[in-house]
Amino acid sequence: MSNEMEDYLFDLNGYVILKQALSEGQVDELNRDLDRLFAEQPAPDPDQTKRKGYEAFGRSIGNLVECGPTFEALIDHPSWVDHIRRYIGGEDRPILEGSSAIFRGEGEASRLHSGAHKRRMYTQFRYHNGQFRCGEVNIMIALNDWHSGDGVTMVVPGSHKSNIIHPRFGTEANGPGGSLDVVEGAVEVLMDSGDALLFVDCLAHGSGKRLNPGVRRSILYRYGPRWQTYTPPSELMNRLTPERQALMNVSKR
Amino acid sequence: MEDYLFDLNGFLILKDVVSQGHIAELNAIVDRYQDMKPQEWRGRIHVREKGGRESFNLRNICEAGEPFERLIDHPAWIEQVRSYVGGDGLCLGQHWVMLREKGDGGGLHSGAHKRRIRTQFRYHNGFFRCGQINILLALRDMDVEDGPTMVIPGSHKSNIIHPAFNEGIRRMDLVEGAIPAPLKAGDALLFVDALAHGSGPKKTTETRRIMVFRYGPRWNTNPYGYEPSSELLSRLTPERRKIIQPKPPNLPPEEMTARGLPVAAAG
Repeated sequence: MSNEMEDYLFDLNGYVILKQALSEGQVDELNRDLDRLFAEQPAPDPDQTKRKGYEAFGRSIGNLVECGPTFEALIDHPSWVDHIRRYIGGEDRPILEGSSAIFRGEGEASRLHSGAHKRRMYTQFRYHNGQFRCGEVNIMIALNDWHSGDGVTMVVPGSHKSNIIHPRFGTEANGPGGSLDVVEGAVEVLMDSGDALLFVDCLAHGSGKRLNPGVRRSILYRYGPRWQTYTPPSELMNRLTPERQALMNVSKR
Repeated sequence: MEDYLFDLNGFLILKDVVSQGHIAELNAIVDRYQDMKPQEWRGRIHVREKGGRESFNLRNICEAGEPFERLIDHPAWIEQVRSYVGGDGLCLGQHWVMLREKGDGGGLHSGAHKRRIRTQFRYHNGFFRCGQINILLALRDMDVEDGPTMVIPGSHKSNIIHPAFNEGIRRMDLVEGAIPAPLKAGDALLFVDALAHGSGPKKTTETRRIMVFRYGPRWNTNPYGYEPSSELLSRLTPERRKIIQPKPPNLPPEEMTARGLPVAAAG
């Protein structure tokens, strides 16, 4: 369960760092399985590298939770599952809505994105009457040590409550291959292997460009409230027009 | 960018906004009052402190001379202050110089968890509506060891009280999330008062000198009952007078006359 100071800092900054969330043994297991999975992956998915904002993102594997028991164990990991319950809030108990591994090499970065100016419900931060009601809370796990210049996650603390769009939106910072290195107010999240960054997705974030040799290794699990669960049967979806499919397929982002 | 950062953090540092010549004029005035005693009045300058600590404040400092009057609508900050207070006119309700000695520090106070209207941060429909915007002008260099103001960035929007309040922690250098705002003489710190703030312990011997201006909407008043002197009001430009006294007293003619106020001034 989150403590009083963690609640204060999460409300204040939009993120907290959970130190030593995973043991060394768990990290070793995850790294071993990911080495195997990435080795089996023939080449970066060309569709992914064409996606806007993912041109220089790094290599990733989606739906990671399907890849074995080491990844299943992360679903309700005791280091964060009660934090997730508290920050998603109330009777809308959380579900896991995404899981991926991200390896980021030299020259790669995640561009500036998100920020509360959008007032997007899916990723919202909200606190009312003593309870949090967040739309999406992420766990980013460091599987090796993250030093400055390693292409680490960068956040703009407090931007989960921003009323104003960051002036760097619309510049190279959130263009193809962009990074947060030139974004005022952004800070690098430096973590040791096994630490986890918990953050609400409406926090303006991305990463710095990796300047150092080597690869930043990470796992990202995304949680949201359970009202995003309905998956229509394929028979029904096949009968529907694209417009109706778009309205039925609530799990599509 | 400044609007974004003010909304994000609740404060801005305005670098090198008052000239060194002007700072020297201000310090020369402060030199004349530095020997004041607790609860002493000297003209309109007042020390409210009852003693017990060596640090004290020179209240109503704009009464002390033209170099301070010039700061009332200083171009380095006045338009930003107007923008952040919003459309309800402007009032400089409090103005003083803070003199702080070695060993003293300002404890943690304020924070948005209070939802106090007087000091609120608010942004709605493209406009700020802040209850109190402070300008802290450094009259001397104020480095980390000099007991600088410390702030908790983003706490002007906090929903939750900082645990340090309930734990009785007041020393700002022990408060998690607090950072120092060191200033050079002539720099100013602009912040909304709902920001949780205080100052670090002063470890150096030279007296820390900062000037504090508190602006609010025109319905703002001085919490200690201080009123501007007729001498000050008569010296000020119309623009400055309107900030010091947004509305002149409006009383029956006989009371206006009894107080030496021009009857025509009432609106």
